[in-house]
Amino acid sequence: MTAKKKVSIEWLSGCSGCELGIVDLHEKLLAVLDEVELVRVPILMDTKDYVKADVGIITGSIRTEHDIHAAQAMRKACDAIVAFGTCPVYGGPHSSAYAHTKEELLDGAFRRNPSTKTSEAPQDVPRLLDGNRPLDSEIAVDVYIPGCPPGAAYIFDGLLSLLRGTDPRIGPRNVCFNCDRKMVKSQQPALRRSFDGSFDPEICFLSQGCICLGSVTLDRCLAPCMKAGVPCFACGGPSEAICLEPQKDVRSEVALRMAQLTKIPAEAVVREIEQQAKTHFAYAMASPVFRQKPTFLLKKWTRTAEGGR
Amino acid sequence: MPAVRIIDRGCRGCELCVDFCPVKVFERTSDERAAVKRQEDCIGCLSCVYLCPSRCIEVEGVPVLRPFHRIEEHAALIERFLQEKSGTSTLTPADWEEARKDLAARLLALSATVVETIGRGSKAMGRRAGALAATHLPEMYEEAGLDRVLASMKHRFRGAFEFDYSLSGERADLHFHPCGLCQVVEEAGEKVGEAVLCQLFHEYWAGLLTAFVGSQYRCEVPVAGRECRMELKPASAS
Amino acid sequence: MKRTITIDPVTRIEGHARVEVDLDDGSRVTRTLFKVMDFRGFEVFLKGMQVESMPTITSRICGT
Repeated sequence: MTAKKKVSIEWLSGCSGCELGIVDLHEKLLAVLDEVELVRVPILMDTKDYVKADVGIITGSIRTEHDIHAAQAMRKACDAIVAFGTCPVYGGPHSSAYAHTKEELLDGAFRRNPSTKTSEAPQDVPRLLDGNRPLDSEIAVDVYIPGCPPGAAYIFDGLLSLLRGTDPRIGPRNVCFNCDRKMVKSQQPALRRSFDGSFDPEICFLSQGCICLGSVTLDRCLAPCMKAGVPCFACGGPSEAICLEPQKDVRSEVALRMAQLTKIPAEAVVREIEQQAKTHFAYAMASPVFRQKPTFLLKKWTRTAEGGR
Repeated sequence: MPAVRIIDRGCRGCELCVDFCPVKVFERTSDERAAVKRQEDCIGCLSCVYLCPSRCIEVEGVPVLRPFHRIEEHAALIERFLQEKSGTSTLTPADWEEARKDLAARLLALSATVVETIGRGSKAMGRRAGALAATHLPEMYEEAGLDRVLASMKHRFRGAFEFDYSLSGERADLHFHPCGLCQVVEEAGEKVGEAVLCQLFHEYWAGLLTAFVGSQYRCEVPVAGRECRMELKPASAS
Repeated sequence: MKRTITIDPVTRIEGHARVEVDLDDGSRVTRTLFKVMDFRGFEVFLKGMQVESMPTITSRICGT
């Protein structure tokens, strides 16, 4: 039997949900542990050093100076780096901070926060960077597994193929692929929010006039939200088409599909998504995939929606 | 020929592929899904691949070129040129010069890559590019004479370079003064006429005319420099 | 002798933290600081988002 591969895990600015995602492998975790030795897992072990490893799994995004230092130390210590979860791949939910300056964030949390008594932002902690950034803005990344957190089936497939040097079976499918709702053409005349009345659990949210981002989101989750009655909020990051084609964007793609399925004009959907950009682009705002689309005006949209607050 | 396949598990029955396919490859089935009915008609436009909400349609056998929008400097440059409401009036001569240099660097890098990758086959690639470009020009389908074709090419290329032409029978003589690539090649320190970029361009013209006329054309360039003379002759003539 | 014991980073917790324990001459604890090294700004950027996205995005404050 060959020597076990060494796996090291480090977290940057994130929520540690991805570490929990790994535990979601349940019994399958034993199959993975047959092939790997965990040498550094901050949530489980007391190893503080960046020990040498074959595979380094990084969760969380680059938000503080410490994150830069940690990412570079991991790159030096590991042969392959996996960007694990939506945070390192696209920036994650705190990407929404893109709509604010660093000073606004610190001000709102420490100085003008009605529920705390502090008056100063804490000193003697790693300096906050100007913006939230994906991992590959700092170091080279070998494997990207988006998802918030990635579904257990995808983690298992991704890790095993990396360890064995085979091609993963993960495909470029969108969330709709694993959703059980039927897309039917309807007479729905206007947009609805998910709390406006009741929704048929068998029918697609788009057909019922509710914005669901499943068709513009990469499936790394097996579509659990729609099965629980919640429209997709794109936590897995943009679909292949949006990543690769500069003229395609979340708002244009959802609008096209909704206009085809319902009586809602495409412009109304585009306008709604622009006005609620903070909600609909929340998880990947930090990613150059969106920012560098020449037509993309996120900062302007979010400012207008908030009335310049 | 493109091969079209629907992965049934992912079909949500939206019929976007049925509605949008320009050549009606898809049909709706009795169980409210889409099925591939006329694969032989597929023109490989990939509309269905991008429209399908599940991304469960696969089209194989179609070469796809990817844009470079993730290259940061490039995207930043485009952003400045597409500034909202500003038009191009706020751009300074320095901006245009930067854009020109950017394009020149890309052309040189592309031609170097072509030679490095396919070596001596690069001439054939230039011809193929011309033949493919011809299929995108309306003149190709009008059965217009060579005179008409060259006149409209002169108009189409007016932003990049000026040329005059004269016809004698099947043969066309083109006179560039200078060609738009001249400055690019000179700045790279290469010899005009012998640079890969020049040769690809010459073969491109041969490919264009071959496609328009329907018989093989050759390209010769006896004079190259600030002015270039290009002779386009039917291959059978010599 | 006065001294300070520093644990950095604290492991087997969720997130990034440092603990500093100040001891006096008699090795008695005089002050303990628990420093949170993380800041993402949820307090501010959640403003202006749609209310129905709150259950899903606030659950990302801490995933454990």
